[in-house]
Amino acid sequence: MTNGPKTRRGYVDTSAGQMHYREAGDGAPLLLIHQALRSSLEFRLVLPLLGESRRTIAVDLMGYGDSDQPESAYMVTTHADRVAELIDGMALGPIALGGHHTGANVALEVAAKYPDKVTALVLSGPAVVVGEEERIALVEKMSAIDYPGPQADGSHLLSIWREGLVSSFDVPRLPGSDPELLADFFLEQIKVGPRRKEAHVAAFSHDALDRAPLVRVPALVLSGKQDMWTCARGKELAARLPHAELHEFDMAGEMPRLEPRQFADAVCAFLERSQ
Amino acid sequence: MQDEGAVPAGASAPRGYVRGEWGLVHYRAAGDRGPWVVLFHESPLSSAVYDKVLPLLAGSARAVAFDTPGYGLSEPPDRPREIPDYAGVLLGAMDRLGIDEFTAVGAHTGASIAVQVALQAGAHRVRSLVLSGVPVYSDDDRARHLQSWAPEVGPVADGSHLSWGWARYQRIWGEESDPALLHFGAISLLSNLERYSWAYNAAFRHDPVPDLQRLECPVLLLVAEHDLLVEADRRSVDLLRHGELREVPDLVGQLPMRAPGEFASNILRYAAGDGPGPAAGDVPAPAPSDDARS
Repeated sequence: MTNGPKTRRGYVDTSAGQMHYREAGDGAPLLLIHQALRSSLEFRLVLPLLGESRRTIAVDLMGYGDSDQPESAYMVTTHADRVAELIDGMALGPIALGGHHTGANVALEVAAKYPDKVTALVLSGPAVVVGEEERIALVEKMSAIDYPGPQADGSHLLSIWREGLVSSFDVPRLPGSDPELLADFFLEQIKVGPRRKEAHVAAFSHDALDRAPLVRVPALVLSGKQDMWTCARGKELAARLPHAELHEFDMAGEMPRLEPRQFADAVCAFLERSQ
Repeated sequence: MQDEGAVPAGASAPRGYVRGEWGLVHYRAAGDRGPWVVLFHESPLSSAVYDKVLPLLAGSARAVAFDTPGYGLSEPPDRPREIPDYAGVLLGAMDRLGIDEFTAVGAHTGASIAVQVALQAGAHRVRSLVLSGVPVYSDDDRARHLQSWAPEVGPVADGSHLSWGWARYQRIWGEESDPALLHFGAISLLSNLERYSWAYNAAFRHDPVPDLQRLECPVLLLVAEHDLLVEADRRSVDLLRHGELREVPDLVGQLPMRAPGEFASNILRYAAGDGPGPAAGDVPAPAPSDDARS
């Protein structure tokens, strides 16, 4: 068990239903957003670390974790609207906002669309899709993946468990030596339920390079050098952000789960510099 | 079957947390008028078992289904506790929600908890009880179950614990059960492997017979014909001062999920005071029944 402040949980009402969150610590708030198909468990190891110096909140996006299933599609822009509602609903005021992978796209979108709500931005491996051709290829690939529902022999459980080891782009996810992290991943997939394909496809719906110049606040871009190519384009994204710094990890794309200390230290140092 | 949801299909009830002695207690709520109905689940599931029942209660009652501490999203105690301890914490949560007079509903472990909640609250607060499979065992069965019912199984890197969890639900709920139902059972178990045995073993250590004999309110034992505990309920009805036994044919248990309409209409009957015994009241219109025998 990691030491640090105790994690609390709760719900916030939004126009699309209840949003669930977990949080740790007190002080100036930092809100963290998980990647597609996951949940606030993404930051299970990070919360107690960041909670030592600030109030750190990790939200379950609509349709993920223990938030309600949305009636609308799983678009980055829709998620961003709900996060903006949550910031108001929890009366957080202008806050530091961060996210990992698709969660970083959502954070970027909130900063672009609701500039008054955000004071600083942490973008950990956002998907940076370059050009319509690449987007169409990604969507086609994600649309072709089969997501089995409950089978009479229970075999769907094992196939979902194995997805935790390696992504559909052959990028390593979680080490087989850590069943607890694999169990987190497994439950996150299960909680998305029958809309996993839709959620995966929607993860590539955002044009990060187009939105980046709209960000007015200081931004930290975190990038895993061995991550999937779209999420390893930290340099290209940082160049489009008005006030950005880049911090690279020598790993693939699970920084908050596999390198929680380095992740938390990088975020903490950035927020201290920028605020 | 395309539904891969962790909870049975159905309208989702508003959820919330309330502070409890061991940490946050999580619940699902439905309805804003009428008598209070509190519901407790069987081990090692969660209040999600009542997802199909809550909307049926909502028109005529204020229903709150709790996650037992350590299950669903309720925070666990720091060590294994006993049924009266669980009941005390849940009654504290009910007090914080302003639940005064109530009907308590429970299945298996949840039935033992419901009875203890009723006794700890006092007869003046308890209108009636609806129980399904009260865990009454012989001393031999109790010892045997404590030994072997809930073995320790950790998450294993190769995922073999998943196959174990699936096989377990095929065995106790029947291989012919809807895969979505088996999925719900197995996932509930697998999401809490570390402590799933705690409330089971508390139920095995607790003898509800003296509790049942002390109850002053009307009690309905509503049980599936092939429930693991149907024989126990057939005997328990004679221990009750105001008891009624009602069996639902052809089912192996899990009435809230397999027969939600019948389950809900019986709860409403007792919540309105229409059970056997001294209480009396208006009978609400029966809820529409769309139950599947699967």
